Amino acid sequence: MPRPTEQEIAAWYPRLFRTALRLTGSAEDAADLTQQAFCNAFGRWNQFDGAALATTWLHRILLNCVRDWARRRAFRSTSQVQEWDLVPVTDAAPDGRARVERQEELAAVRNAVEGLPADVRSALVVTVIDGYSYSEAAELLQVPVGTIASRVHRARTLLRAAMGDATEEVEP
Amino acid sequence: MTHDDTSHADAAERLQALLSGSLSPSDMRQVLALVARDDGARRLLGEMLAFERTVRAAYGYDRTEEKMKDSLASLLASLGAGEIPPERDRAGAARRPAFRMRRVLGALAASVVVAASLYAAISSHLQNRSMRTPLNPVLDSAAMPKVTEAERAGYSRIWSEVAQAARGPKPWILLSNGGGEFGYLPSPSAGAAEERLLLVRCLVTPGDDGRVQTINLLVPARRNLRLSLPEIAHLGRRLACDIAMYADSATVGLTVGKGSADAVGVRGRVGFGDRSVEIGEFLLGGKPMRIVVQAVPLGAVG
Repeated sequence: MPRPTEQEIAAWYPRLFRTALRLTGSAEDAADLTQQAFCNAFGRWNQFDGAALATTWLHRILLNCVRDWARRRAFRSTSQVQEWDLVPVTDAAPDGRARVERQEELAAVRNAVEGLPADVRSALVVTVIDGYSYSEAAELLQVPVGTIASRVHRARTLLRAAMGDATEEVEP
Repeated sequence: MTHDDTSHADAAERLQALLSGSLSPSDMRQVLALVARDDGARRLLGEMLAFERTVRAAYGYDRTEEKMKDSLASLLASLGAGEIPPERDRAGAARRPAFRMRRVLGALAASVVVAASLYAAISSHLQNRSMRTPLNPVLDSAAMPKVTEAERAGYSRIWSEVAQAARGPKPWILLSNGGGEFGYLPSPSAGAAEERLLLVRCLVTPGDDGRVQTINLLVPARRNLRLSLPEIAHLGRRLACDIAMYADSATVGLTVGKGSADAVGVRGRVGFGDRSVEIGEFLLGGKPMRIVVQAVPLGAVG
């Protein structure tokens, strides 16, 4: 497979960065690990046969980088990094202007996300938070695209109910 | 899943592909054209964006966008400079790399420009045969309905939602007769500030079916912008539009037909504001076509 163009790298990078971000909870570490994953991928690009989507192949490489990083830091020494973990960002400066109500709202969202069934939550994480397409999510989670679609739809419905969101569901 | 659920999921899948940046330029253009013309798709996209913002904000991920852009720029700069080693084995080695920091995102944004037909000058494309441009443009033509506050808010929301989906390059959006078209503008040159969103409204009367046609174009006001749209409506033949933008006014040209043999058109200048201007008329199929234009600022470009 030909090496990716700058445009492709720029399109893929945010998804990988967000994956690293939610696994580490640190923007600095996410930046380092995403760069490292790309560098590792470039070094062995001739091993990429195109059987998988480039983004999901990169995702696997990134996951290995994160696991190595966690081992070196003795991070979560009692448990392994799980692919669909969600760690809140700790090193970004909190917004001092944010109102208490807003913080409570966001806490309610986190609680609602944590309360989702595992399969629904992982579909939400990979699409809404990481930003992968349904096709990519299907490959990462090894389920059909239709299953991703229904799980994300269910995640939205459950979160809306859990958060007491007054927003009506949109029908196209 | 019911039929409605299935169609909702299909629309959501296409829009998620758009948001993820995984579409080819032609597919992206198709989906954004759908967003521009379909109110349901637009509302769904708005809901998806709001949902995405809320969930990411809940975990603090919204505060890391700049860091992400910087680290991408750093990676691309190092690629351009050939500084990437074959493989790294230590995450620490990648921390604050000595890569040259270059802002290449602007160039990348420009590189994904699709669809917009931009030309350096508009005047050479306007054929004036059979044109009747009034020496004293008629201001405040009664034929042009005033843009209401609700319409202003609606147009601003449409542009904002499409712009958010585009995530970078600024779009123009054409809305006419229930249809929609969409394209990107190139990155503004230095000093070409975009402070306002503009609704350029053209009213053609009578249309090919005898009815008035209103064509609405949403575009950021940018000095020296030249925008050429090959088909904004169909009056039996294609109606093309060319716009040249200045600090507080725009020159709008409308042309029917192609080439020097059969093209007819009118052109006139309209100031930014609520006032409409009748820029002229031409004969098409023996019928006079009156052209009234308006360029209404809608508010700040988000």
